[in-house]
Amino acid sequence: MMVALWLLATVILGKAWCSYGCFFGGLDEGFSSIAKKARLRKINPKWRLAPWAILVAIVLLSAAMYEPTYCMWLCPFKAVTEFPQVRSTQTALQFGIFIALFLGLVVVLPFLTKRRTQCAFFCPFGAFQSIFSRTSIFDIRIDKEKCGAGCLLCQNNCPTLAIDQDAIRAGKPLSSCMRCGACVDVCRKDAAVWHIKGTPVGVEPERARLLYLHAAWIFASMFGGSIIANSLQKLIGLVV
Amino acid sequence: MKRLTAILGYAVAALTIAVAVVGPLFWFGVFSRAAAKTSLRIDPVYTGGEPARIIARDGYQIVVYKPVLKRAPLSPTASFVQIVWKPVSALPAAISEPIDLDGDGRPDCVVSFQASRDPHAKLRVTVKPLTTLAQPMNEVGKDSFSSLIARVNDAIVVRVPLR
Repeated sequence: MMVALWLLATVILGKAWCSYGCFFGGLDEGFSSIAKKARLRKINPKWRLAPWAILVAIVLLSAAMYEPTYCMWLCPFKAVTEFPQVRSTQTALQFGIFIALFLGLVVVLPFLTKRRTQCAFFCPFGAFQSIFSRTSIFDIRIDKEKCGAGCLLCQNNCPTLAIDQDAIRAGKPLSSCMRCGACVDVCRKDAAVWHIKGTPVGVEPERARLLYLHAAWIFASMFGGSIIANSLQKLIGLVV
Repeated sequence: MKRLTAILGYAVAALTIAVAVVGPLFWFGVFSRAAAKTSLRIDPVYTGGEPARIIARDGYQIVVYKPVLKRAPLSPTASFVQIVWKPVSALPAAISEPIDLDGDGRPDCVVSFQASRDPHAKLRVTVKPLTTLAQPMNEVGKDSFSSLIARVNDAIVVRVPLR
């Protein structure tokens, strides 16, 4: 069911799954929002390639070992969902890896950088989604003429480093853009705008924004509604 | 042409909202039916394979599955045989059962565990090999896909790794 929903979301909304559906990314987002200012500002943009390297590695390893290598060894969120009982050297190693990755990529680095570091620099799922991201009718465009000299607020606020000087010159973010809209919200010149493919850039951006947000939030509600309701019920059951 | 592409763009964007609403309701059924029509199947490493023999006992039964062989040379999951005891409610408190894993009429190992009715109780299984087929297990919980004991609904599942 998750595969079906993910596929549907990715095809119609692009990488918006990361912004509106992914519950793991929510943890990343949460920890990145705690600090008022980033303590670690300079991040080598080459780290953006890491998810692709991890994706290739786990595909090859999974095929060779016939097991879900990422789930067994690399998923940071095993630290908060389930992990093997520590009864052997192997399980102790797995436990250590899960805890280290979760604390490093989901807690500490997002807190220090105010970026979604797990999503931007590790998640192979996100890298795989970038391939399908182009099927969506929605995207974000940057009007170079309105942008002018460039304050780089969009680049500094993008949680996944999907905007750099090249992206601004090209007029659109990189494929790692997860359609969160942080660049649109922060742009003072309204140069970064929501856009529907086939339509002129910058014409009626509010219409594009509303259509996209309605679709994204409706999907998030349909997908997460029952999960949220069940969770609230369990939480209330613990208290009452 | 520009006007046409703009109209198409807005039309698809509006359709996206409709798909976002009805998609999750119907898509799963469509997707699962389409997947069932392909040759894709859940790997026996997860399902435990197909049942080979059913042994009837007093009020419960033991289902011995066909061996699931190692899938790839580098795979860490060893070959195993899955054995299921059900229903849990009819099991005696302690199980110690000789099991024929390969169907040759001779028991290959003795499987022992405490069949607690408490669903939250931790299960541990001990397997003593009687032939060279089975690997020994000493108070094992859920060590790996090929070596475990677990409660699944109203059954207790044991997987015995093979040499």
